[in-house]
Amino acid sequence: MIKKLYFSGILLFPLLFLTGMASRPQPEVRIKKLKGGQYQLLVKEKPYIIKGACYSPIPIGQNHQYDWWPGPAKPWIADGKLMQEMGINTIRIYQIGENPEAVKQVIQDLYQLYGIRTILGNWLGFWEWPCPLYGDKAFREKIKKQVLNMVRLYKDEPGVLLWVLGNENNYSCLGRVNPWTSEEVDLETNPQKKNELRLKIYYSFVNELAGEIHKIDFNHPVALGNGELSGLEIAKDYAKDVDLVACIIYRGKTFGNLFRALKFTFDKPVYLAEFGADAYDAYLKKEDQDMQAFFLESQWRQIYENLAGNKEGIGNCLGGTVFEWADEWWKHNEGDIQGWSVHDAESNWQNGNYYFDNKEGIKNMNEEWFGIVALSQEMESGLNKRIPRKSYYVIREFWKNPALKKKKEVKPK
Amino acid sequence: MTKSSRKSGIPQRNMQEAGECQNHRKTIINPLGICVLSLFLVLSLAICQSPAQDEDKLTALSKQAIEAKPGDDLYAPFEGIKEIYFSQNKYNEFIGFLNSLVGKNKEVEPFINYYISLSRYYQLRYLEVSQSWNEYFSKGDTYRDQILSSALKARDASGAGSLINVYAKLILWRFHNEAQDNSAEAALAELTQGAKQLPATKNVLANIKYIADLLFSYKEKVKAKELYGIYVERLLGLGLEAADLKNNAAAFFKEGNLELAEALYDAYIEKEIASLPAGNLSAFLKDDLALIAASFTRKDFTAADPVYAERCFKKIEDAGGRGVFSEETTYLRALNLEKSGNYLKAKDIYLDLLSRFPAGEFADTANFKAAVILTYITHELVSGRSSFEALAKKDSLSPQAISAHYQLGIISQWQGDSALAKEYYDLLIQKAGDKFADTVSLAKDRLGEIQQSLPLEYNLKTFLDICLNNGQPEMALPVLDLTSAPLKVKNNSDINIKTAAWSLDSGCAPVELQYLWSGNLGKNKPPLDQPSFNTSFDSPGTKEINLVVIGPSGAVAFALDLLDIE
Repeated sequence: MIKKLYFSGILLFPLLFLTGMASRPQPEVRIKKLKGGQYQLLVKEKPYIIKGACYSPIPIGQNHQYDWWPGPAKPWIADGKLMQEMGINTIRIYQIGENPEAVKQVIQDLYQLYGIRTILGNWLGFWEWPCPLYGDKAFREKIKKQVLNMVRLYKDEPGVLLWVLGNENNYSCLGRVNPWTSEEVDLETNPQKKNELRLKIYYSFVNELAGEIHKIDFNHPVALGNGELSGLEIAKDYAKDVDLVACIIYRGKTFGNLFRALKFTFDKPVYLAEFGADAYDAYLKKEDQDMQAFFLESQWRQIYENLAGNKEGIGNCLGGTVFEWADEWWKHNEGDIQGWSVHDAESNWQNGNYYFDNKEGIKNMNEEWFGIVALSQEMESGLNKRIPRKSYYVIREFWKNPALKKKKEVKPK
Repeated sequence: MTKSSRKSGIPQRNMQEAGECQNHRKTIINPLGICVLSLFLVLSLAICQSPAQDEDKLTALSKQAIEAKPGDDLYAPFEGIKEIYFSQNKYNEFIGFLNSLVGKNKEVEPFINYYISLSRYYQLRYLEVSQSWNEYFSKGDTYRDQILSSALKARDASGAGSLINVYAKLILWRFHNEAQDNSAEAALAELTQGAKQLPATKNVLANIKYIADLLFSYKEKVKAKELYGIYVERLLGLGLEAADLKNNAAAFFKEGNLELAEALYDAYIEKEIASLPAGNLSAFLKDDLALIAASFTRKDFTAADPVYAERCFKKIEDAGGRGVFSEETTYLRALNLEKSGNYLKAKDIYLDLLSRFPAGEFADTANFKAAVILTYITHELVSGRSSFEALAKKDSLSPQAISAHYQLGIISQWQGDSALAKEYYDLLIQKAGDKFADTVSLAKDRLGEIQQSLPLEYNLKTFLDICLNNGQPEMALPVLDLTSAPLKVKNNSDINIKTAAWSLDSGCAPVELQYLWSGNLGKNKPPLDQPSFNTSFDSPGTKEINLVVIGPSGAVAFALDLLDIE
């Protein structure tokens, strides 16, 4: 009898264990690795392509410090409708507002009214004065607290899609933007090794955050926001716990070899967190909606080609959030308050990949003209009137019928 | 409608007529004759604004295509027809014409499909360049689909080793390559394999070269070289004499196709070295091969490949030893190495020149340059200083000997030995008299600093800090390429100095770089934000230009250039 019970126990325990495992629900949002090393985003176990836009609805006359979240104008209501009509299913927010109730309201309204999900991000102190001190324990703890607080507050919101940690923070490790150091870094004398050390410190911190998030939130993937692919050869060893790369990239008509290069550097799925084109021809000095539409259509085409299941692509892309939904009139010269009310056509940087208005000596990336929706000074229901640009319609049509090349492989005859 | 079409150009009418012709072809009693007639009508409508001779040419070429028999060369007539339509960007009309040929002659089917694909490919490019966005957005997907499907049909319906088969593969590769998709690699392999299968006839050679040129322009250098190799192999197979090879190489060099010129020169050199009697080898090396090497060194206004030039110099050295080189050729070789950034080897050759021609025309220049490289690039300060001292002690009063005093002065000043530095500067001014104004002016600036107990000029000190701290971490900084144009410049003539493109990937937040220029900058003192500047010099000599590039977190690169002012 005892023997029987003993054997039953042996048989039953793994059975119960397995049953328990099987009944455990899958995460609400997860990334599935498919055959051939491809990746697919699943939401409630259904494939989900991120068709999104970066969202920062700053009205004309305000700058990035403007807190639009609790605002009576509720820009997301009007924007959400337009987005839904276009086919947008996701927005990306760089950093949440201070009022949790207001943030929840935005997430809920967008999801319940329009089915639009929200990607929530955190700058990880990138813009902290004097610089992001990733080598400093107190600094890291402060940021960690912020991030985990965000996750705890919003993880149960049905509209949340995933978390993005950082944006282009890797450039700070390479001494290019907001450079920082630490005692450990100062001890290293070789400049290349200094960079490597900073990247190791930074990516280890992101990895720690990803691990902590996974402990408290089972349902949403964690993305590493990264400028281009810089530094990912280090992230490969130091940020293993992130689920995907959220890449910020401006390469013009296509993303070049991004998808293939990522596969061989840091084999994680990628979502294009920030990409796009402006709608101003800096050479001819006039708005050019066609130029913007041309670049965006081509970029979306390549995103789709690299989704799972397309033989022409790598299959590691999950979608993208184009930069950006609406123009922001404050961006050219943040310090010039008068300029916040002027649609400035000056640019601060040049990018040769945007070749229509790329001429020697002309800075052609017009920060205030990246919206797929333009803003008018005319007010409508308390908001600057939204005027969809041509790219709005072109991408809408592309999404309706993403005609890609026929899936015919070129096989030697 | 027809009349207005005639006036306005052509447009959709041709497509319709071409379609009609195709639909009715079954009822035609004498298909060939009537089709030639209808083709004439189509063409007349299509090219109504072109000169009459275009129409005649089109009719003749079309007849040739339709009446083609197996084995006939169809590529030439179709190319002729294509040129007429493409020159006017009439892609839809060309496709209308091509569709009108469907079913007329089995031989032309692959050509029809290939040219449909080609037309759509160039049409899309044209729509982008001309910014004809309405058609681009509304028809783009259809055209893309046609590029692929028609090219595949052309490829599959044509035999391997035929031109049309290879060109269909070429368009497939270009399409996939520009889309940066997964099929690009396989398409490229298929293309090069196809090109290799082309028959070894003289008239096919130009096509292999065309494909290789195209691959080269797409930066597919390995595959391009592979095809250039086949081209040369086939050319050799035609039994070319060494002199013909050399002439062909020179012709390709002249047209700027250095890859092919080099491949042919290599074949020529190999042939000559293998066949020449030992007694004639030295002359060949000294005269012929040295001239070829010299032609590839950097010069004003012509293409250059310093790496290939050095390969030729090395061949001379291997076959005849360094003794074969004249002083002038030795200097040219060292200069070529220096300008292409191979400082270690350049230093070696400059020192070789100095040992073999100590009283030669280039001795002081070689001495000065070797000393600069030793001091600032290879960080051998002791040897560098000795070289400067040797030059300074010479009785001759060359610009380089005067500059050597200045270099010894700034090294001493940087090392904190102001008294010794002052000695060098005083000696320099005394020896120079009223000559060498640029260098005298610099020495006076430094003397002023010593007299007023001021630190070394900031830009110069930064440069010296980076280059003279032997074994310090700054050595890991990349050396930037500095270029000056023109290369041959006289005193008081303008010269432009610029850094190679240098950018730091920094996303949307642009990096502001600072350019700390120092050294002998001539009459201009460029500001901090200038990556290039124009200047001129009062006196001849070897002028050292120093640069340190500063990013947000400190020095990111440095550079040094030595200008020969005549």
